[in-house]
Amino acid sequence: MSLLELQGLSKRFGGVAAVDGVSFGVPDGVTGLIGPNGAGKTTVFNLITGNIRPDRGTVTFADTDITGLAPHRIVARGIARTFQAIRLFGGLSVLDNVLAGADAGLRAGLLASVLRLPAQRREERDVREAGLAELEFVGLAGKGAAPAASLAHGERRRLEIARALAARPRLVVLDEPAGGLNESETADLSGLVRRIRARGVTVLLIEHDMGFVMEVCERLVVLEHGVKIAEGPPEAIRRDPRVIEAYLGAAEGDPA
Amino acid sequence: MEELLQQLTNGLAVGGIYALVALGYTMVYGVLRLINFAHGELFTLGAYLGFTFLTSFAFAGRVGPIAGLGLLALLVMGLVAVTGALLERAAYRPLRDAPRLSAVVSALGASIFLQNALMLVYGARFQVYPDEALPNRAVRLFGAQVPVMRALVVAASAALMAALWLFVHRTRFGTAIRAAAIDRDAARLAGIDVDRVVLAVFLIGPALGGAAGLMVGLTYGQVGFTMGWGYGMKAFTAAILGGIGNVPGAMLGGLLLGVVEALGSAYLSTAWKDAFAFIVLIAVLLVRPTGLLGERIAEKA
Amino acid sequence: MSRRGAPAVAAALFAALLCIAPFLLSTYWVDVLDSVGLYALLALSLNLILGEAGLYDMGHAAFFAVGAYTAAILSTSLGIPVLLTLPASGCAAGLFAALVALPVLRLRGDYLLIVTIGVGEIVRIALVNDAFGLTGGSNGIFGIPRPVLLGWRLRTPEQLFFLIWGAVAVTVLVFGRLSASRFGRALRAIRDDEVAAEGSGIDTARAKLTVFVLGSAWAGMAGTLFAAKMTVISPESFGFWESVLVFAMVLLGGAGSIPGVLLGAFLVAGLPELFRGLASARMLVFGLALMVMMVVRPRGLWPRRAGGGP
Repeated sequence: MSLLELQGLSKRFGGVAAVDGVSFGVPDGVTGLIGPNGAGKTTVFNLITGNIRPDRGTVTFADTDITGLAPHRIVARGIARTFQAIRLFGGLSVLDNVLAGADAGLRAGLLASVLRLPAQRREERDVREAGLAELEFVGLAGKGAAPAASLAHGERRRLEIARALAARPRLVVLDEPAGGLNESETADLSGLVRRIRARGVTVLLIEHDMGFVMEVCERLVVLEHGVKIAEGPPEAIRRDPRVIEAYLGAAEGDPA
Repeated sequence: MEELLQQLTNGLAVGGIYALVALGYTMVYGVLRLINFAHGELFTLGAYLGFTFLTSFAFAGRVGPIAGLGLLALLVMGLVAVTGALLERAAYRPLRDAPRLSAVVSALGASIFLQNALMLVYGARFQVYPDEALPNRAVRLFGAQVPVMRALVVAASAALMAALWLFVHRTRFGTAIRAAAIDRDAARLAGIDVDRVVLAVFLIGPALGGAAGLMVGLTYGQVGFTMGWGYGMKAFTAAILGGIGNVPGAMLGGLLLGVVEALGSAYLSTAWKDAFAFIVLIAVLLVRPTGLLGERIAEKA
Repeated sequence: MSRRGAPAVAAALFAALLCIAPFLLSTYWVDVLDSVGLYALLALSLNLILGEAGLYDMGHAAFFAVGAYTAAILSTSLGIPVLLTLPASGCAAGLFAALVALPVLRLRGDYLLIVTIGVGEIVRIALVNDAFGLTGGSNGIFGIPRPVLLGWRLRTPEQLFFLIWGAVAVTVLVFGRLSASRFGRALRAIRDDEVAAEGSGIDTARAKLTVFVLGSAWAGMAGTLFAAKMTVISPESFGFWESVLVFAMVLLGGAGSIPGVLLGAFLVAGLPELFRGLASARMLVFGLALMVMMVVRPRGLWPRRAGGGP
């Protein structure tokens, strides 16, 4: 069984089926979820991360049913995410953004924080070290004290990924990580995704940049109108007539 | 039955006033996401200006009671509208891109400033409208004795609301206001002059608030410098109750609160009169977190 | 190190000045400082809710009232020394806050603002109407015994000064540490983007409930000190106006910044006293000053830096 299993997921918004009976598994490695605009990709993500509840179907993660859990509980189970429109804490420092991502793993209570008990101080020191390490991992070393709002667009994407990694997830879910990045930033991102995978973290991502998708993903799942139309390795997907038709029919977007 | 009818008409009369004031809150909020805490003081200003004009010029004697009242209302609404536009320039425009709560504090400061300015000009004691200048007959309506003045006030508030509804829903500029209320940036991209929309809501809202203040003066006779806070708070509650940013919602919320208050204080407890509005508000928000007619989410995420 | 050192020196200087103030100032001004101290307690506790977590709470006076009335009732009818009612006042205000929060905290922004205003008004009206037969209606409760601290009975403003400002010092320490901990970080994350905070693994519902209850309980304990200082309390001390003043202190000083909020308390509670020479125009000037200060410094006079500590 794969790390993440979606089984018959359906979600309707005001009578329109955004996601309709979608099932697929996410094994270890890097999986891409692709499809034309409005195919329901982000809705699938939100169903996985608990931001919306499915009308029907189940989400199983590491052999446990996590359907309908609150988002923060799903993070604690080991799934962390980024957002399509980057959502950082603009008033916090870069490092504090990362530390906020580590919150689900922290234990210190109010009293321990007020009394600065040794365990709390140790925990805080460790999480800071880990946070700085994550910043270095995504290439933001030395930026920890800057306000998050002062970062450039590409740096924000990477900070959001660092925040997700700080939760020590087994699976990260990246919603259009290459959105708004230039060519060299996208190349850096490919490297980053590979290094995440090399840490043993499974990656599921939505992306429109087909060059990027074909380069980093080992498996692809294709959605159209809320329905899964294909699934498999990139080479097979590239030649799948249904996929080609979906892309040509929906827009002038080129799947290859 | 007679009693109930009486309370209902009282409630609708007060509710009409709440609704007029609530429109000012809701229109400004719709476009700027700003709670104009000084709006209650614009209402008070309307009441005091009415007092000044009535005591200084014998309107009724010169042009007859109805025309005199109409002229009076136009003067008051115009002056309060100009004050509202000036307020926007001084207290809110510099903060349009600042953190939202700083505009709230600026609005509170403006409210304190205006309230005390009125106190310094008119004195801390109540002022009484000269009733010899006003029509004081009563008419029989649906079997109840209704003072002419109250009937006129109800008719005028209904007429103002109808006019506003037509303006907002049937004219090009009204469409621009509604577009700016849904998404200011998108409206700007669509070629709508948002600054003009802001100016318009800061003219229309205060004009309606000023008219409501005048109506309270004409109906109850007494005006005081702190009256804006009570009416303002009820009206703001009404705007939220109806769904803030929503023009028909403010009308519905105002009328509903007026009736609830009238019935509540008649049949439940007079002492708790001022609490009913808030109790109803909390009850409604528990069921509909964005108010009765509020469809869209309160804040953009 | 000097960037960290300078605020520490300033804080020490401020504390030293405060310690000698009661010996230099007239009794009248010491009494004013006592009021400023009580407002500082309220503002610091509201700052946790409004400044750190970004919850629009304009009904803080309601919880202040619950605490003050708890202290007054327990000390006058059961004869419990007033300072010993602190835990009870805190618990009563905290419980009431939890009761209010459970249904209300899911409301967003301005809806929460009006609901908290409404809660404040309902509490005030309940007190005026003597809803529970315990609060003395609009006359309130009088004859609250003077506080006794370590065998000393505190009567004069000078004696109360050390009690009140001691409480402020404890509050600054406790809230400063909370603000610097994972709890403060989580609150600020919620303030900036609640959806992202939840998506980052923060239990937002629990954090919001905790901060609302904690801040309100603290206001309740400030209520005990207020009751002990005044010896008479009545509903008019707990109206909308008080909530507005405390709200303004937090934002004027700088939401989320402890030194800023203290400065805000001094300005908002102290300025009208300084303007006393203007007689009836003083509130006019005060309103104008609020407007001007917000326009000139929209983030407050002493805002919190994004990167730095509290």
